[in-house]
Amino acid sequence: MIHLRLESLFFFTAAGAYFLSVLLYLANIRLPQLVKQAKFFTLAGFSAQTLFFIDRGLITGRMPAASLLEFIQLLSWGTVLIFLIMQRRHLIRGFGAPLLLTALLLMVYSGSINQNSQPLMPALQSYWLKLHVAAAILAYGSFALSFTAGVMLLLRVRLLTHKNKQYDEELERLMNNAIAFGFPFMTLVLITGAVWAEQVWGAWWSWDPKETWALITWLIYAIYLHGRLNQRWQGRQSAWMAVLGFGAVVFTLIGVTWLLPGLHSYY
Amino acid sequence: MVHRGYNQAKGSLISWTISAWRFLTSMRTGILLLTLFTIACVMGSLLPQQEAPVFYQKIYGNEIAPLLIKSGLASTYSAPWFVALAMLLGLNLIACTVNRTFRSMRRLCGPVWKNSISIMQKCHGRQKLELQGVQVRTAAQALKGKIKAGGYRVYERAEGEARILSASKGMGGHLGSPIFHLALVVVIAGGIVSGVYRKSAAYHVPVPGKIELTREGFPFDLAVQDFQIDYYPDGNPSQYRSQLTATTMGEIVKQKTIAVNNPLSWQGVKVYQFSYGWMVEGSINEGKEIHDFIIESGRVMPLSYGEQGEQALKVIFLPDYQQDIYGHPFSRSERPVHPRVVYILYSHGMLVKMGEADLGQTISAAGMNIRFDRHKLYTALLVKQDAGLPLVLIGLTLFLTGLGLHFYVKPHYVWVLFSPVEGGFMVYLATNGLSGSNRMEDELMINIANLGKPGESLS
Repeated sequence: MIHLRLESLFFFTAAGAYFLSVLLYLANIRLPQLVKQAKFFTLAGFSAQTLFFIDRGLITGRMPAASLLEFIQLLSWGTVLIFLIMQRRHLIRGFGAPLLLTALLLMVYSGSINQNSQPLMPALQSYWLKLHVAAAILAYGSFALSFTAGVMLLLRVRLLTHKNKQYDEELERLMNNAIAFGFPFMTLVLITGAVWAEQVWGAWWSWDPKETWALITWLIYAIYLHGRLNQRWQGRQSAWMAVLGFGAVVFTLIGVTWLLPGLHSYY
Repeated sequence: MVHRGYNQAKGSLISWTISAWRFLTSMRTGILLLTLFTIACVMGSLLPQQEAPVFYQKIYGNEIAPLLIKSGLASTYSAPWFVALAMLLGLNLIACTVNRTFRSMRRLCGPVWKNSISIMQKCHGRQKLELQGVQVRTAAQALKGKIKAGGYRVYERAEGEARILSASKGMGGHLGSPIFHLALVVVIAGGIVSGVYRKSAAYHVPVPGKIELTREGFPFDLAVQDFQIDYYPDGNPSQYRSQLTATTMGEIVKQKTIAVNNPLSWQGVKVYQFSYGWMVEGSINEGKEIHDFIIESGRVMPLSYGEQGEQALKVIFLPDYQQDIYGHPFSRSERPVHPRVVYILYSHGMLVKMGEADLGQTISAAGMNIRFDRHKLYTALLVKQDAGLPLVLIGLTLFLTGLGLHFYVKPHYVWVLFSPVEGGFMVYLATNGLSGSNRMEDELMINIANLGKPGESLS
């Protein structure tokens, strides 16, 4: 019971802090001096969410990543983590608001569905699974960040009217860096998944819908990187690819689970 | 005239071949192939694969179903056009790898020169400074030492009175891209070898029991000594393990207790703990004759005996028997704490009798007395020999190494041009690569300034 209350406390603290950060980042568009407070609440929310996972892990005695809902929680955490890392280099006014709102919505969605924690089935008891999930969090978190930047570019969000070009360039650089950061981790997702499948099912690749969609995600970002490096894709063109790539991520997580069940049906 | 025509044809054939090769190996084609491959994967994942023709007719109707089957979309990943697409992609990859390797080797083996001021001015970071009271040669030597101390490889060249330094660091980063492109080729090759030479078979072995794998062409036989299931407090299995012994010509070569996620591996053959299940042993008394039987839970066993001709028996074993609120039997857990069987007897495909029985109980049906004696666990093992697996694993390791080099080892260049002017010389400095190059440039400029009596700084 004590653990349950602690878990709820961390969850609501994190949600509250993220909500405040969204408001502060919105206000930051007009009031530049508020950036410190916005950063502080983001960090506070992130710390509370980290404690939430540690607590959950201690109760269940395993990594809190055994179901889709737990993974979506982790994805929200990963998105904020990548944001905190990228924020050190790319400080873009207003960017924190849509990003933290996405993280908050993911967190509240997965937290609102009451799900009893299930013990791990034998196939999921593997170090490869832990690596697989950790890589997926970092990859998908980065892609969520690039998606937000891509949408802002496409919608031509104008926050600082006199510095349009510079603002767009900074957004694009962030989008590109987030993808370049996430791509090696996406590769690691495929590799650890293949090695794990080989250990469990004796087949490293079986064209299961989930793994095929992970490959599709990887291919879309590979096309993006090649197009950018060699064909000099820029602006809206690359922004569309970033949006498409994240569409594949969402379809892998939610679409495949509901529409195309396969070996990953528990996930 | 004939010769000229022949030579023209030969020339055009060569030029056609060259342009075809260029097209096939270009990055634009690479992107096109990647896009087509992605679209093929999307279609393959959305359409049900490898089903019977009737299945497609039911879902897509009589007009679309044959199209799906004939075009190969019903078995996308083994369709000839998909394999051809993968091979073209492989070819494009090989060509890109070769091109990149040459380019990287050139960069690895020697310096990259920036000869003129105008070229240097196109570099990302650049500064210039006029120095007086020191010789060009002395200044170049001194600066060379400073740059070398920063872990750079430095090359020097003299052109008349002018001197040029070219320094580089982190050149391993250039190898990243060729390595991971090559790794992809190795993985694809491994996948093809795996598809052609892979041999696997599944076995349900009663415990204790044996499988004569050598008869199937595997290099050893297998004995299962024991099988155990660990349970969570709620009765669900947490892990299951089989104690195995591999023998060759009667001699023990390997012993291991395998579990899900922990297979036995010996001489390129792997044995996986795949699943487990129950068997029921019993006997059928048909008047004068008594037959013993052993049947897997959930399977249908044909009975060659019985008065009413073709008969079959299905047995479902419930280890922890319980009835739900409607009176339907089910098993509460996987533990055999309250074992009971549900039996179904068929005659000519029609259900004759269905009921429940305890172990040790005899039931009478269709002129037979059927007795269920005891339950037994069986372990389900998958035995696999995959020649492509080592290639795939090598490919995956190479791939990670390449990606690591490409994304985390950044090549960094420094070029310095010492150009004589009246009363001294100008030093042009350009850098490329590192994000922190400005700080590095500033430090170098201070070093240059300290070499002599500075003139006017024009940075």
